[in-house]
Amino acid sequence: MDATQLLKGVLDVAVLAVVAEEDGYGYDVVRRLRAAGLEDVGDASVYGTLRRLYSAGALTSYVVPSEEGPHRKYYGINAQGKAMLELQRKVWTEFSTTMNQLLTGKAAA
Amino acid sequence: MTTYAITPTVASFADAVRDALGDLPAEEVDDLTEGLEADLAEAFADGRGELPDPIAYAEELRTAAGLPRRAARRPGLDAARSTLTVAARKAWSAVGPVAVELRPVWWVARAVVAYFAVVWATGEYRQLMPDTVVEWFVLAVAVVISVAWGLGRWQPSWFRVPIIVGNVLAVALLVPVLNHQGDQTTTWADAEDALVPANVDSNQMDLTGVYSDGNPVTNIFAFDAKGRALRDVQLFDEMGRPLVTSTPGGNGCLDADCNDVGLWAPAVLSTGKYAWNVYPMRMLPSDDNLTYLDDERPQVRPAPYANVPSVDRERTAQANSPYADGPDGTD
Repeated sequence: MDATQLLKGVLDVAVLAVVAEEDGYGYDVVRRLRAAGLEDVGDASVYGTLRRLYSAGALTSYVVPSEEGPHRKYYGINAQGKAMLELQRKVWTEFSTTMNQLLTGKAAA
Repeated sequence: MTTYAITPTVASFADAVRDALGDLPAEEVDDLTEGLEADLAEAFADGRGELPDPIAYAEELRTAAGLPRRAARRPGLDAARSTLTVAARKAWSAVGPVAVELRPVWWVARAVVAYFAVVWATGEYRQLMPDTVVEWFVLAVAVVISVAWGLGRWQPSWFRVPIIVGNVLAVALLVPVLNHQGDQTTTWADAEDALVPANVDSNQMDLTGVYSDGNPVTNIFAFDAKGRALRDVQLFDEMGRPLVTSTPGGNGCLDADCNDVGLWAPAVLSTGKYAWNVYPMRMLPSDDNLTYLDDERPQVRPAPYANVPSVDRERTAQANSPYADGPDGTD
């Protein structure tokens, strides 16, 4: 099984979790996801996800000017994003518990 | 914050990505690729090896952002469109900031247009430029309000639509108003040079004019039925031609002894055109070289009579044989 296929389904909640920790710009979020162990995550997938979550109203964004070089667009989480993260965290926990039980052969209690 | 050098490779990769997104609205592309160069430069600094295929990269970006996949390529049309889009985006990135800086000019312009439009619509004034302190004040208030709106102040949320409608109207009126204003600000000198009465053949200037007993008439004074002097009467002959006593540049005496001279001055019509058939004609004081004086206004000429006998309309209508009554109309 390809981990990148699995990643697609959970990239939203992963990105939300990283941004909830601390505001970040595109590549910064990529780096933190990779540092957390999601090494196969694609830059463009993360940037696109940030953009989509922003359009959906889950993230705020602001530009931090840089004296040299281009400006950086930072993303931060807002109330709606936090609610989304909470819900998806719950969905993931239940789903992963079910999968763990299924794969380890233990029936639900 | 550390900054990373953006190499030409990174820049051309970013351009290729934007190109591959060319079918999307420009704003969408900007949002998607804002900071792309900086991110890539940083990734390189982090030890990334090679750049991916820009088309695949764009596709990944697009899919992750939840945007529709690019429609099947129609090579010629697509290439042309994407080239155009990219060119438009580049042009905007060059012109856009300047246009944004120039917005205040537009705010002032639309206030002036609105002021002119109101003055013009009320028809009170032929001259659109403010003349009195009150008019200048009204114009200044209009400018202040327009600028405040431009800065997003003093406008309740429901006001957006009226402002958009107003902007469209202002743009539509800008050219006609400026044109009209152009006519208004024509100087007397321009009038002399450019405006020749409709019935004047410029090759036969000396034959123009109105004659009475073989003598040129320089001015005409009209009186109404009650015998009162009229002002600004427009006269035409039986063919509809303006009855013109003076050509532009025509001059005469301002006083009986001819110590002061002046130039005959036309009236200004509501169309902004000068009319040389409006009587009694005014005279613009000039110096001895017959050059008009800048700070002078056209002067009304004194009438030969203050009043004349009134017209007996009843008898006029009933007198069926005036010739039988005698040449003077007396019986």
